[in-house]
Amino acid sequence: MEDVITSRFSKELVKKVDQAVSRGYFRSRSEALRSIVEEYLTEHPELFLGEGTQELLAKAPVLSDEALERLGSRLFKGMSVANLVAEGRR
Amino acid sequence: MSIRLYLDTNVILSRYAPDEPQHVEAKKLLEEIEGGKLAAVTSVLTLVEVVSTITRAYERFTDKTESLKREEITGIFLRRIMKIRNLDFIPVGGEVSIKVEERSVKLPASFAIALEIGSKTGGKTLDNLHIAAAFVASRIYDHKIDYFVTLDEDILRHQGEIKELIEIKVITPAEIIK
Repeated sequence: MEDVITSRFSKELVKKVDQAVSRGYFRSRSEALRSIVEEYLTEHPELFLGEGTQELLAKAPVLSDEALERLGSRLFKGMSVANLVAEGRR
Repeated sequence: MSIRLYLDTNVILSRYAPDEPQHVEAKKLLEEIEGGKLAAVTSVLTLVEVVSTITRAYERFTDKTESLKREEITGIFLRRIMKIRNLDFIPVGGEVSIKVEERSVKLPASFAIALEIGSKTGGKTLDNLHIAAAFVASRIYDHKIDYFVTLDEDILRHQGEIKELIEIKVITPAEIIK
């Protein structure tokens, strides 16, 4: 099922699309615009991603390096970080 | 800055893990990078590994007095690592096509290189992706890498083959901080 949408384009843009059609890159204006939109959406996955990482960063308090080292000391107590990273690669 | 390093995830995290045998060296290395004495790159993959490593450490974390939640701790480490001065993050690279008969599969450049490395070293997938990122940094992004710094025993075991494949010497933080 297809939807028909109406959109305004500048004359320059239409000229470029027509040029691509007349050179045989696309069979019609419609196919050209469909293909261009599809390619743009494929190349910009960020348009469909959530804000999870930004939220994670926004919620995180800022710690000094000394405080972060103290936190790391408690968090990694009795563990080897190198082994922990390696474990995730297995 | 004449020397440029590729930093593995384990080196960056060791800077914040005082119990780690090479913590002091990792800390000094990061200080030299932030102070502009050394340049460094790492893969964007490192950010993903930092999050998963911190999360796994938190799951084993038994200190009930800790007031920070898991996501806050993860975010704190992620934020700090993203802000390390003079550390560039290497993207996975533009897409390349590999063909088999009439079929063509697009994959990021570093994945294509990791695939080749894997076939020659038999290393682990994420190890191969880090090694490929160092190669991409040197060859595609023009960040000539002198040393691949790691604490990963498997990568260190394959250092001869890696040097031959990507022309980058594999060393530990202790070897560079003398």
